[in-house]
Amino acid sequence: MQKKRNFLYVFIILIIVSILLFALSKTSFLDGPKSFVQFVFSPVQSAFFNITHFNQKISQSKDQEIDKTVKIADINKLEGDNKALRDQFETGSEKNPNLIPARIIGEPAFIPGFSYPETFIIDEGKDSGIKEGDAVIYKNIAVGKISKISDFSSVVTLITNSSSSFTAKTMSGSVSGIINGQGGGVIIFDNVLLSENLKIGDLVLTKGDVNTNGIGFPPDLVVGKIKSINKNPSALFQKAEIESPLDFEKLSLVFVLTQ
Amino acid sequence: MKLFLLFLFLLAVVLEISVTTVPFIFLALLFLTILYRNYWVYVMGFFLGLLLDTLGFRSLGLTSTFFLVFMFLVLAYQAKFEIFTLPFIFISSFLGSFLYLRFFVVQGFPLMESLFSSLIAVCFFVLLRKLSNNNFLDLDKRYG
Repeated sequence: MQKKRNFLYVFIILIIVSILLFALSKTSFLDGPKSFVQFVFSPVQSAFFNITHFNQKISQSKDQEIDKTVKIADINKLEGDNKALRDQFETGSEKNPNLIPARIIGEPAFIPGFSYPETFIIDEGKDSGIKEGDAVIYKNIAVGKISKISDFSSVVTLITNSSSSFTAKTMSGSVSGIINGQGGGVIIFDNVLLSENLKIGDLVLTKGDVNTNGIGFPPDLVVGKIKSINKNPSALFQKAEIESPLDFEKLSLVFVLTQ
Repeated sequence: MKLFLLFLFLLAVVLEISVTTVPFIFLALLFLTILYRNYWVYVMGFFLGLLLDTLGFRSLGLTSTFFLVFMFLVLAYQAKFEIFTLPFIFISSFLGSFLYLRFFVVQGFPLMESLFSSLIAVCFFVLLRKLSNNNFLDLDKRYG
């Protein structure tokens, strides 16, 4: 009976402490100790990540394919800027963003190598000037956004994550729509009007959702190519599946765009 | 031995945050609760939960509360029924993994992931039973 009472006392005390800590964590009171613990464990996380990804690097041919895709998008952007400057309707000038390189130290997937990761953990945080909502890219290709942040590390939610959603357009016809992650590495270009013409193989770029604080995806980042189109005349919109040129599982370094 | 176990647990935490989302810590705590039925398991669950919350960028105290409540329910069940049985291990690990993954890790319906976790738990249970039958563990003395 005494033993049962001891169990109960310990349980109640620990529950109360947990609830207190939960309440305190909603303020910034515990940010310092949390950041310290993350900083201490960061090298261990990095070591685990490197061990599980020692053989997974982007191949030379894949790298060349990525460069080619990005160059096509860049040429398209330059043509647009050139036209805008000649028309004198748009300035085409934006604040120059800063690029902060960040190593991936964690890529949790249920079964690594079989399940698709939905988030990355990177080794840069508030200390480097990163803010929640900043875009994360690799060679001008959209990777994701910073969703959680501490002093020395951050969580990147990938564009394939089911909570990821942003506006996009096609390169050839400037067809607008919304990119929705579906989880499992699947990206859908949704809410496209039935009257619009989508083409398989067409590049999809970000439309730009940068807010007044400079947070969000800038325009003309590569999202991917249209892989298949689902056009049902009885539906309100058509949708397309997008394939990113990046294999997210093979990334070890990304860049955070900060204004 | 205790330091070695602590080291293993810390490694398991890092593994769970950085490499895989299989709830190893939850499964380990479930077995510790069933095997040892001691209050220090609560304390371990509390601190490991805090560590998972810190490294997983969650609000502090969430995972600890989940672990504590689950262990309390397991021990409460143990007061009336036998818990070191295959059906209990399977059901408790499946339900616990499902709730843990749903609340803290996966968006959607983590049915396959929960089944996989409970399979791991069942395999570990079978291994423990075999070790017990070969007298490597004194489980029979502990559970009569």
